[in-house]
Amino acid sequence: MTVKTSLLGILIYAAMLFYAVGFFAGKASLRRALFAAGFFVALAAVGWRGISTGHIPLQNLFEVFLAMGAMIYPIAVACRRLPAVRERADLLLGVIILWPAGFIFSETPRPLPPALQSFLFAPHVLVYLAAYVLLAKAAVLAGAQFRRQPEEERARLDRSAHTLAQWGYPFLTIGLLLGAWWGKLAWGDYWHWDPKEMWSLATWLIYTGYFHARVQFGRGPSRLYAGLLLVGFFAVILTLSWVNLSRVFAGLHSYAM
Amino acid sequence: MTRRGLTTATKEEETTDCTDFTDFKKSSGNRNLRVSVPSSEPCERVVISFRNNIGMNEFRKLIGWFTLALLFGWAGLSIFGAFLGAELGKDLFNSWPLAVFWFALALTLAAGFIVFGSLRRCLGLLGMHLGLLLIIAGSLINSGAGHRLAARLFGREKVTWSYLRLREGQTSSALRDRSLHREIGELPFRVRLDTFEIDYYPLPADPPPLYYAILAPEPGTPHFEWKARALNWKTGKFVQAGDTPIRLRVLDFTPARESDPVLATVELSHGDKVHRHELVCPPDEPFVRVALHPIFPEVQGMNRSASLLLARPTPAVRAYRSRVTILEENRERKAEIIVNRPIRVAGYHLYQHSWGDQPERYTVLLVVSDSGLRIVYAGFILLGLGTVWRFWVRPVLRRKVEVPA
Repeated sequence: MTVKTSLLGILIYAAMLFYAVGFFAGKASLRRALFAAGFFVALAAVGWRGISTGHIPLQNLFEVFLAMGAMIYPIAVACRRLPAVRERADLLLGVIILWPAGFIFSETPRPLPPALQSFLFAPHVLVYLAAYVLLAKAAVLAGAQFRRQPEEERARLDRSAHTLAQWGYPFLTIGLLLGAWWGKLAWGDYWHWDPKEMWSLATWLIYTGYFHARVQFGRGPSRLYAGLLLVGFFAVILTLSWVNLSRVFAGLHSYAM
Repeated sequence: MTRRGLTTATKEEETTDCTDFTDFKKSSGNRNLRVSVPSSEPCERVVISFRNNIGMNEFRKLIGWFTLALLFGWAGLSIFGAFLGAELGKDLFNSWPLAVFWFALALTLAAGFIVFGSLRRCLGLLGMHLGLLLIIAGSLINSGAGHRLAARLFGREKVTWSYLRLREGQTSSALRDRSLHREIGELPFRVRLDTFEIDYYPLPADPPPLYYAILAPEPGTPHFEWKARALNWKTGKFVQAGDTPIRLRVLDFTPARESDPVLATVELSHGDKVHRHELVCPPDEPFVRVALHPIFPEVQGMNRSASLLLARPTPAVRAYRSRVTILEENRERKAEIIVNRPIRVAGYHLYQHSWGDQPERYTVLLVVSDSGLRIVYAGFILLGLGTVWRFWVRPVLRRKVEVPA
């Protein structure tokens, strides 16, 4: 674990602090104000990173987690009208997402390799990040269904988790398809059987299975659906972090480390 | 609730006071249920219509179960394939047992279209499932087996995946395998390499890399090679030289520049013995080294080749491009091939793949047959649009219908 003393590091820690204080704030209006403040600081960090590196800051895991830390706010705002909203969980998610950028990954910039110089670079990564944030929120609501609570509340949680999965799934699909198209343009084939590709496909298939299961077994809230959303999100975490970091999965996506 | 009633001859109708449609649907156990709300009737009186066709429902359930098994089986295989790595994973998914899997998947999709009317009626579902079917079909056509079948049926010989190696000024149509040594086919046109260029990023002003290295036999050859381990150093801070008891610290250095030598002054110490050494790596050398054994012969068990290496950092590649002339029967055209920007000629895509310097600089172009590619792309579009329609557009449209202005 390393502490960053650069301007970028300070911005990341400031955003984390806003999110963390917002998490503990009692008044909803104060919580929202702190959430917004954290977002603008995180956005400034993303902007600063982009200016200092000279490219869209989505090249490696440091930049990806930083961008996700900013993305959590607009997505949380878009989800405020859902039947079950967990604003505190969103703030906590913001802190958790920014943690690797603040303390784990190196901020040393690296030049963009030729394969990443593509018009598909930003859309491919951004849609995946949007999907991951939405599916993380869905997993939070799915996890809450395992706590003892009234049937009505569980139904609300199930409906909201399902809606979030419905919003996230097309992003996941588009990310996969844009990646395949980009693979075709850069490496000659839309599918390379690369470990990252295989994990992404497995993640997509788990969520596809979730939607099919809902059709197969009916619509009411069920721990099976909540469990599938949790399994899907576990696959997301592995795809995003372990597959990039582990030497077991060396492949074409190794530059994301 | 939908306002559409069923008009088929097999339907039965009953009237119920049930207000919760989900409960009724669950208790009835009927998956093919339609609810029609006559516009003239109050909402409490709803007409429930359903097909009393138990056999078909059982078959649908079976297809549903089979689909779930295929999806989660596919997810499990993908994870297993990821552990195998790209090469073995590809072999696994192209093996005969897996061919049965692909066939079962395509068959289940086709069966789904027949037994689930919603897959045909609902635009989103139709797009998603048809898209997946097209992707599988296009991939089969584009595979090695698909090419062999096309050659047998239509006499159309096409190399699926090959390489073109060209020196500047050289014209060739000879396709090679991955080793670049063996010719495996010929293009229906010729390619001349006019120029090949590499752009580099400027060298960063970072400290130069230092390594602890020993000589080790190169597997399968009578030669030796340097096995190097990077040292994590900071100016003035002591670090251990590999697995030896020798300590070193960098006193001063100059970062690498394009045409200047790289310098590092290091202090090596063992017990009371201290040795200062200046490493100078000239611009045309990849590294310079100082052997540790002659300086510290008293260190027991140290490899006799143990050395400290100062390497010249290599600049990162920004871009590389081949400017070529395509020579077809009656015409020739110039083109630039760059990573992410392949060119398409006579059913093949040509990609900038890599380059080499031995014995002289050459470019390597990847040549890929594009058979079935349009079908795959059509599948991508259908799958993408279908998903967006089903999960984003349709819920908004339905909400507008349900909430009257």
